Amino acid sequence: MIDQIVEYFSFPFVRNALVAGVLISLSAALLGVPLVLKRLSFIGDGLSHVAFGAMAVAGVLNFADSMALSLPVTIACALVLLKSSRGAKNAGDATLAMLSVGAMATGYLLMNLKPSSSNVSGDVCTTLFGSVSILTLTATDLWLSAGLSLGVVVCWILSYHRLFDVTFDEDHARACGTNTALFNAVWAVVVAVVIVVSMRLVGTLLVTAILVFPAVSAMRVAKSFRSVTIVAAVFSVVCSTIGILVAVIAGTPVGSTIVGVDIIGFLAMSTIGRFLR
Amino acid sequence: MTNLVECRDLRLGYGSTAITPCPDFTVGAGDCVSIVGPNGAGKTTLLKCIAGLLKPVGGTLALAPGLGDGGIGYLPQQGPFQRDFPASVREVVQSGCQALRGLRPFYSRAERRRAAEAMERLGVDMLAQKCYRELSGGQRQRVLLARAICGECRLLLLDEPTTGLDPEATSHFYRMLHGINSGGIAVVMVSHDLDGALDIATHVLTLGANASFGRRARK
Amino acid sequence: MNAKTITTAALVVAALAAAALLCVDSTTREVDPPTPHAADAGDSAEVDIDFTRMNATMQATYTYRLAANPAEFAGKSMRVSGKFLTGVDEEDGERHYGCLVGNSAGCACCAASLVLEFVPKDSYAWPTNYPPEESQITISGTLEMFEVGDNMLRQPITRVPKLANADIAF
Repeated sequence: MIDQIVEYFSFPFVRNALVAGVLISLSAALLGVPLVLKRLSFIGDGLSHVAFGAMAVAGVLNFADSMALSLPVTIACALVLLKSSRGAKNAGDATLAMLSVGAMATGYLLMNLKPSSSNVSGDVCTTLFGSVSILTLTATDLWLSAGLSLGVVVCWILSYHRLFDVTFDEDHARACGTNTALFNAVWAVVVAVVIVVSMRLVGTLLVTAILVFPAVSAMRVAKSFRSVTIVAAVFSVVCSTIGILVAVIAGTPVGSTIVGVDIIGFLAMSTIGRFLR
Repeated sequence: MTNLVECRDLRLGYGSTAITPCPDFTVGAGDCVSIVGPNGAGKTTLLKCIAGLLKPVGGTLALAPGLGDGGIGYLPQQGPFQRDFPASVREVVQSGCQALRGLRPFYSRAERRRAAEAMERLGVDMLAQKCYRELSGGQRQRVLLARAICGECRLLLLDEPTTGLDPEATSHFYRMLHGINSGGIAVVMVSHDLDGALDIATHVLTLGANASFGRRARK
Repeated sequence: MNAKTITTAALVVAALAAAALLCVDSTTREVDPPTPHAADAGDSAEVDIDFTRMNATMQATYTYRLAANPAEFAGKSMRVSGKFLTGVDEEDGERHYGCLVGNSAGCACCAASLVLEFVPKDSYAWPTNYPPEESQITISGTLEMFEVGDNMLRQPITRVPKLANADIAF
């Protein structure tokens, strides 16, 4: 088994996948904690579907890199939906549902009407489920994904306390002079970036998993905000690494494998949590 | 301006809620004002206006100079998500110093000492590492009170602080609040619990049909 | 957060950045990937990239990369297996041979697939030593980029990847 792993490490695309995977899952876990605490997990799902639609349009218009379109579109939708934690609930989940499903359907329709590659179904599958997308990163993809994720992590570290303040009690934060409207807008942009980048790791349909599983698993065992985020980050990185390696060695699709490992990890954390009580 | 808050010809409104008139009132240092009135009279709205979260529709609401910059401690009504929040007591209380922290990414040692002192004062320092969601209702409110007095607080605003507390926790809470008030921090609170609130109040502001503002003789 | 936490966080971020830089560098000068599991002794010759010995994920990865950027594999010897397709191109009147390389990476409805054209060795003459159409074949050859008007799929591409000097096993 170790020999096999070492052998696979000789492939540059496996190494790149691991580096990108670690950074992406780290940033997703860090953003996932406040998202789950604000009860906004479903927005992550909706935004990833919007990003898929944007990617399809970018493919039809023959963009060199679909992120050039999917990032701004997703950011715009995130800003509209996440203006304030209250605003998100008032936006009406029906609106989000229509937006999310509409984008998905339009995207797939466009991909079939004007295929940019000869193999549409393969592209769609790896885009939706991330079956091999993290293993097929070009140099540009890698730089972009890794760079954006690293940027997210740095921003997160710098705004850690403010994130806690606004997530725990937005009214109190506003009374203390924090410009919560601006903060929520910036945070919405960061969430959109993380979602678009995460699609390369696990695919559109599974993005919510790497946002939510680490956070919920961490909350089973941790007792302070700081330990929740640290546990979530470690959980996410470990599960993604194991997921990628298992997928490459056993021949399973990467995205689903990572989520599978997340599920096992979550069950393990729940059991540990029960013992700790 | 010697008073902390002065309101004249104030009219309150919020979204589609009807505009409510408010009697003129002042809050001086060391005062304890209890806002009473029926539901929908605008009590929470008034509190939010003083806290700076809402703007009054008409009239003037003047704060003492410098009060708005971290001089107000605010204890809003708690939502269900907060009760379930994974945070240590220390983290919650520390967030009371966010106005002092400003744009800095981390808290200074002085700010952390403030939080420790506030926890001691409210008697929750032994709960510092405990998870917020494992506390009882009374303990949670004391933690939030510690958070409110963490900064350079001269005025405390409390919105229904004893909702959901049992009688013993309620009286314990008012005892602590009275101690803080006696120490020189002015208090303005909205409370449905008339007995406990009026016990420690120096002034009563009534909103609604029989709006009035007046001193109250303390026992 | 105290100084210790800040330092640890900074170290972690720096380590990740360093790792990223180290690994990205290798993308531009791609080293020939060794075939997973060395070829057995037998009549199968060693090739650079052997699809027949890969698991589903690796096959899908290579198929995708081959479809997206075939020039990356120019000059490499490959062995692929798939369905045999052939037809006469109406425009140039020549017979073209192709292999439908595909596998389902975990999802039956969405298979990453690619029609890889191949140019057989001169020793092969149609239709004598060719397999029946649509049958399963294994071809080994060297990937080269050919300049053509367009390929069998009528896409206006000027450089087409084909497996040259191909041996057909069926």
